[in-house]
Amino acid sequence: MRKKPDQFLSQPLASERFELIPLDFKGAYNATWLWTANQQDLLYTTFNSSPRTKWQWFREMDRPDGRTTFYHAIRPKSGKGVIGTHRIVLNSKGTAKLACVVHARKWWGKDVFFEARSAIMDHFFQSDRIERMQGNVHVENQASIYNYMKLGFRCVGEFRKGSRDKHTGNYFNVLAFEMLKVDWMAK
Amino acid sequence: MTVRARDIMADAFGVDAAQISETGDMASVPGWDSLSHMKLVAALEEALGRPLEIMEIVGLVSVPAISQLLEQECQT
Repeated sequence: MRKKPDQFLSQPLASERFELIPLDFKGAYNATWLWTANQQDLLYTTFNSSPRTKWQWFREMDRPDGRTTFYHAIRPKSGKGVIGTHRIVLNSKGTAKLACVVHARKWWGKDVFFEARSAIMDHFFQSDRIERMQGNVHVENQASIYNYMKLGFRCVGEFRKGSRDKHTGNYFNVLAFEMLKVDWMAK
Repeated sequence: MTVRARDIMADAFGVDAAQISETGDMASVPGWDSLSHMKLVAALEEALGRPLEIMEIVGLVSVPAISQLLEQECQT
C-alpha cells in the first residue's frame, strides 16, 4: 500500500523574494528537463554529462512522492516565470540530500540558491524525520561550493576520484558538505 | 589586513576598498556573491602563483580567512 504524503513537508513555501511551489511528477519532469539543456548543469547535478533523451530522463529522474522526494519550483514574487528547481530527497535514516539548479542565467549571482534553500531548510528541519542535510558537489562547481559555504555547511571531506563522468570517462573529485539540524537551529 | 588583500577583495567583489570590513564575511561584504567568489579564487591563485587546494577554497568564508591565506603565503 502506498504511504500517505507528508502534509507538512508538502506545503508551499516562500522566502522574501520567491515562492517555492511543490511540484508533482509532471511539473518536476518539465522543470528538471531544462537541466538537460546544459551539459555542465547535467554534470554538476547528476555527475554524468551524457545527453539524455526525454525518455531517458523520464526513467532516470527521482519521482516526487510527497513523502521522501520533493521538488520545488522557484518563482520570483515579482514575475510569473520559474527560474529554477530545488530537489530534496529524504532517506529513512534522517538524512536529506539536496540539489538545485537556477536555469535562468540572469538570476545567477543574485543569491537565489541561498535564499530558496534557506527557506526550504528552515521548513524541512522542523520535521522530526530529518536530522542532517547533505550535498555532494563536483570539485569544479565553484558556485555550488560558495553556496554551501555561505549557508554554513561544513565540508566534511573530499572523495578523490569520487565519481566518473560516463560521457567523458573522466574521474573527478567530489566534496561532501553537511549540516546538522542542531547547527542550523543554532544559527 | 594588508592593502594587497583589501585590493584583491575589492577588485573581485566590484566594490570600493573602504567597503571591505576587517571582520566581514560572505553575508556582510557587499558584492560577495557566487560569481564574484569565482573571481576571488582566480585572483588569489594569480596572486599566490599557484592553484588553491580545495580545502583552502572551502575556507574562504570571511575577510580574515582570506587575509590570513595571503599573509601566510608571504611569510613562507
